Amino acid sequence: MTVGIPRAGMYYRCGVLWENFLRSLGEDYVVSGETNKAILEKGSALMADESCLSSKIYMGHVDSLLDRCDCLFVPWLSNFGADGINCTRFRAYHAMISNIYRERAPKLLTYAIDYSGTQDMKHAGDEETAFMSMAKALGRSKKEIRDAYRAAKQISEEDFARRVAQAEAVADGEGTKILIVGHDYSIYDAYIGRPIIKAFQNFGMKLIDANLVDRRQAQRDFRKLSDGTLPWTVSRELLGGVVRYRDRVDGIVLLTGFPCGPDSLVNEVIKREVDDKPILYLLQDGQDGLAGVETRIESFTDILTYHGNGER
Amino acid sequence: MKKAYLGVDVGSISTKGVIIDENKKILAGEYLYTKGDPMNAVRTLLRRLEQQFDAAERTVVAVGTTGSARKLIGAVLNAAVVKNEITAHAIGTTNIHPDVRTIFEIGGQDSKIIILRGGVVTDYAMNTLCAAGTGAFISNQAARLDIPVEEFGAIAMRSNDPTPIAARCTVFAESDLVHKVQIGCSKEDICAGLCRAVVLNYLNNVAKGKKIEPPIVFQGGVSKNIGVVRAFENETGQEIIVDENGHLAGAFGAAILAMRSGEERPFDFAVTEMDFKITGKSCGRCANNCEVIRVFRDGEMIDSWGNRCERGAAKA
Repeated sequence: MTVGIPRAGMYYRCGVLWENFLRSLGEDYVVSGETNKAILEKGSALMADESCLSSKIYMGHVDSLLDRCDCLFVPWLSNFGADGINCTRFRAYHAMISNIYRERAPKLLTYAIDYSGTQDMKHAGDEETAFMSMAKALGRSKKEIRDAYRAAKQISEEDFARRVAQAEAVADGEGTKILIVGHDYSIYDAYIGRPIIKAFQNFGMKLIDANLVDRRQAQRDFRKLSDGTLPWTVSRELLGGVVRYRDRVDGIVLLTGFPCGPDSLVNEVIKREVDDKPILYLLQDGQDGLAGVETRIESFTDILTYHGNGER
Repeated sequence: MKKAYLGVDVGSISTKGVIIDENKKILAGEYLYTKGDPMNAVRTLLRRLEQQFDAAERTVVAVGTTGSARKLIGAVLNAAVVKNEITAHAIGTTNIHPDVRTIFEIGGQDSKIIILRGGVVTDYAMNTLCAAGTGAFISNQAARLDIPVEEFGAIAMRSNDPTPIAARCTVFAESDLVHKVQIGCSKEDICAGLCRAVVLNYLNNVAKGKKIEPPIVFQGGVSKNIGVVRAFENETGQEIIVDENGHLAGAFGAAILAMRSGEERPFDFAVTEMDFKITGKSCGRCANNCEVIRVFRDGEMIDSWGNRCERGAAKA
């Protein structure tokens, strides 16, 4: 059985865990290719019009996998208890895929993360318990699943800690530094964020991803910018990243795929609370031309470098 | 032979050009409508600038371009500097008003705010996805009311009671406008209401969260509309400076940047009389299908851009 993993959405947060879990079990799996225009166009045609750019991209990746796998890996990542909730989209992908492909009815491999336990998912609970629920679908013993999960979890946590350490090193290092605040599925997407990152790097800027913070610390720090009611886990971590890095960077870039509910609130919080750094707001909506974005990136870079030189 | 520097600003609506000497003194300046054809606009611009310029005394040794067609015109004019309009405007404006702290700019399809402290840009913002509240909006509404856009501001100034109009979105504003006309609001009040709506839209969107401190300089085509200027004064409670050369600030900044670059390249006013051809073709080499733009001079490709990856790199 070949498992298909869409290179979109929570893949950028959990991909290392997922891939190592399946690899450790010796399962065949395939990750969809990098986002391109064809994937975006296909996803836009399939998804409801008012969906966000990232969920259109997600569905494009799902579509690109249908002929290449026996089942799609679509976890149900609902909430993380006291650490907050996920965007509603990530609770909807099962239903959307089932609805969009009614005839074809692709098989889904899934696990559910729901600390509230109020949903009617049978295997709600913490992550390890949630992974155990895949034993039957994968035809494995509970012990095999537990061992594979624990090994994969360790690798993914080490990988994340290494990336956080790299971000800290950049923040402590030389150069003109920019904190980029956005969902990782926007920042690292080949069609949305990566051309922007490349453009900044071509201007010699050093980039720090606000997602790369100690997540426990971020859960405490976000309250310095917002009251405790902010519901979304990732948004809290991004604010925690702003708290962590703001004094060590020269400017902040807010990167959002249109339209994003959580970002519309979080970007506003950052714009109001951070008044000592230039902030660039980049809204991506699958535009073909990069001209408008290039103008904004170039002028923002000018601000940061001229500011540093005190040049007119 | 003394040196001179040319700055060209090609926007969606208008094309501007300035020639300066080494002391940043303006030797020639020109403004005309782009009319959807930047190549032709620049051709006319250069002819007019040449007439104001003493070629026996000075030579243009470097060109700077800015505005939305900066890359294209930069390739055609063999520019030493191709710079975004925010930086160009800021540099141009600080050289006219060294103490400026806020620049409002409303053009044909863009609106921007630039914040400066001590002559250095510290922050800016631009309109995001839509063009509500820009020059295009005022032109459309003027056409709907059958008023020449040049007279719009003067008519608005005669109003004592601006009609409230929703200007968050052009489409909503139009239906609101139709309604106000039907209930008998005067043209004067509607014009003044539209000017106020443009200003509120700008202050609540583009300028939101920015510290607006005087001196405030207002630029872009819409700054020629006296009704909008007055609405800005009423809403901010500050004096709004509109420079008679304000529309040339971007071109002026581009010329200064060309001078500062220290790079000299041969320039001929007749350059645009050569045979230029611009093509935009879908690449088709991968799923991204980028639109690759190529510029040809006398059949020879001089520049290309638009490709996201190397597969789309045009062969010279």
